Amino acid sequence: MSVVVSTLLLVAATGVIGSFLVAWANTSFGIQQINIANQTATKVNQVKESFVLENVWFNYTTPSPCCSGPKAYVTVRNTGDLAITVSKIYVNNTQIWSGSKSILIGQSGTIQTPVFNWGTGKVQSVWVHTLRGSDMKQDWKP
Amino acid sequence: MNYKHRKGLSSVVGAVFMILVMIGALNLTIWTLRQQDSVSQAVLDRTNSQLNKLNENIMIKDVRLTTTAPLNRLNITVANSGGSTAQLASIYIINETASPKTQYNYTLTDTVNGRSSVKNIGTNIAFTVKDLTNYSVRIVTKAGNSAAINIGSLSTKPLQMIMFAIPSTLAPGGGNVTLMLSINNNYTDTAFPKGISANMTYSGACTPTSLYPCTVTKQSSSLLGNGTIIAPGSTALYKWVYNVNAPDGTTYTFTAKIVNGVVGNTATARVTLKLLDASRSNTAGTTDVLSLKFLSNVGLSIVAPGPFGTYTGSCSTCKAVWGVIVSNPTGTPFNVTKVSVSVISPPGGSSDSIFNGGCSPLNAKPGTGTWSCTANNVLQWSGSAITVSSYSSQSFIALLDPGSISSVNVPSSVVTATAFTTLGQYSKTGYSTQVVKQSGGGVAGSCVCSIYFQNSRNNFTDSATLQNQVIGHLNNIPSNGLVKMNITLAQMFTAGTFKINSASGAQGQTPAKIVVSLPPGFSVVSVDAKGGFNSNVNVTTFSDTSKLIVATRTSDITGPGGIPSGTLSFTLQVPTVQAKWIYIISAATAGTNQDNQGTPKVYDLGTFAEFALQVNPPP
Repeated sequence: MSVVVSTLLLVAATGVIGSFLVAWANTSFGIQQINIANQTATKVNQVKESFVLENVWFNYTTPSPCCSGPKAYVTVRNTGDLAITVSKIYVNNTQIWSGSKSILIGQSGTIQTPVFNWGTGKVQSVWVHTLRGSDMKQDWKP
Repeated sequence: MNYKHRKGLSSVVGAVFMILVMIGALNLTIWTLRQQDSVSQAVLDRTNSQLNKLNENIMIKDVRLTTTAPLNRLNITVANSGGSTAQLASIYIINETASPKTQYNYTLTDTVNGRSSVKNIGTNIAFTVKDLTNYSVRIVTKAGNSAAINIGSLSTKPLQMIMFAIPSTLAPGGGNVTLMLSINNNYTDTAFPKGISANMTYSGACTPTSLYPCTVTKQSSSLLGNGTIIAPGSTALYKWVYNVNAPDGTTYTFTAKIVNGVVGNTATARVTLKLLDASRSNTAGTTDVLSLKFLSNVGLSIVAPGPFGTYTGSCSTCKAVWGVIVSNPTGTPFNVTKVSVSVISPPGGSSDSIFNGGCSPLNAKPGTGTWSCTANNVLQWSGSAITVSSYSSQSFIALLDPGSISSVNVPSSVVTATAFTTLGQYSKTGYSTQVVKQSGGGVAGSCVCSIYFQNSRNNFTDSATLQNQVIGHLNNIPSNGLVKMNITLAQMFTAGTFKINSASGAQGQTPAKIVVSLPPGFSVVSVDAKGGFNSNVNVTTFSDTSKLIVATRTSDITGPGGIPSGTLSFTLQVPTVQAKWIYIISAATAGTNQDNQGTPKVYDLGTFAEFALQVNPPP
């Protein structure tokens, strides 16, 4: 009798522990899968993201008197397979603009920077950063 | 039931759970690998995209402007030397002349296939290119590649220009000068889309004379090259032809300038009018100058019969006129010590000779010294030196019997005149005479036909008389003065055997003609006597004012005893000169002569004479 009872107790304990283990494993695997999926999607999107600095136009004049002064118009062309969002622009390693400018596939978008000092004839290093973390850096001469 | 046999049941249950956990882990691993594969695929796709982008290589090949409405729109040709098709997306045009600079941006939709080009890009965008303005143009493709070029304004960008005058030196009286201008677009990144034209101007101090009027005339339709579009790094040639007529010592400077070009961006070439002995380039070496000077400093003119007949023994009327007129066109006198006339013909036989060695010529001019035949075919004058003054002439003329030709007719025998002077020995050739062989039994084969200038209007009678009448030059004619010329064509064999024709005939006879060439500047005042030539003596004036007098025989010249000669007399007004000048007048003949033995044998008339005329300037 005792053998029967002990056997049943052992089987029951094994079942409980096993069920707990399986449940925990499934949960853990699911979380891990989500993390991996996110990381993969991020990397794939970043790989697919492609753009060029089509034009940088350094100019003094603006339509609005409030913002007159030297500034730049940075035109970015999306040459990749998915839309991009420009988040930051640096000139000579100094951030001069931040925001969110979306550019669809095959299109170009122009971002007007705030007033900043650039010298005529001096080479300016323009660096565009996207939301996904891609960067494009080119030198332009006003 | 035997419970002893159920001792491992819990292990089995545990194993089932472990298997379930392992299956879950395995699925996660496999899924992770698939995710990794998708990343790899994305990298591959990106790499391929980048390769395609690198395989697109566009360049702006040409920039022009529209010439039909709407005017002055951009007309760009884009070439793609890569393998991938390029889809043009944007064009950026910056007005570099404006202050501050102005940028224009337009969308493009053109497609340029690999290894091809597309024209007319930009004609449909609403942008008009202004004159006198510099632009920079950049075209961007959808793949992000770009090509750029500058549009230049001729008013701000000087171009490299070189000009040549061909020839750069002309004789007084001038002629056509070709001016070749080379314009080089030495900007490898700048196009001039409107085409480049150039203007030509000239300047120079010139004092006109009656002969040389100081004219510079552009020849119509001579301009080539205007409006040429010169690609970056390329060169275009422009051509003008000018007729320049000016006195000695005149220099004209031609200046080419680009229309609407940079002020001072010009090219020049100089054209100088100089006498040949003074003509040389500034860079010529001394040796070249001496060589040129010697070759041009002694002028030789020739008098020769044709046909020259054939020797038939001593004949008082058969001596034809041979002569050399030596002219000195320099300011330095020189002496003449010897003059020779030699004739060269293909040897028909060993005994043939046009001049017989040991001949007995009569000395017509200069009257001193001795004429002789030192060998077969060589006639020579030698004696005490005769001085030829500056800008004057001296005649050496002999009357000579024909030689002996029995084997062949000689239709053209080269005549060479040589003068030995204190400045050296000079020769002139390029003239010819004719000889007809004996017809048998020592009978002459053709007439002795000779043309010559003489000092008065006399018919030919005999050689001894002619000796005192024939002349080869006249000196000291006053500027713009009048001079009377007598030109005689004679047949010197006794009448009855030969004649110079005056009419056409069945054997090919044609009327004989005297053809007189006058240099530019002469006027024919009157034709005073025609002596058997037609009454309507033809005088033709050419564009350079040179003239041709043609007189045609109306009666045969049969020889002494018949009609021995015909003399054409006319009065000339010589040009106005500012310095001593020597003009050469030439008298040639055309038509035929014949014998009268059976069926006439007809030969060409080929005698000629040159005459030197010195004109003095007003005192």
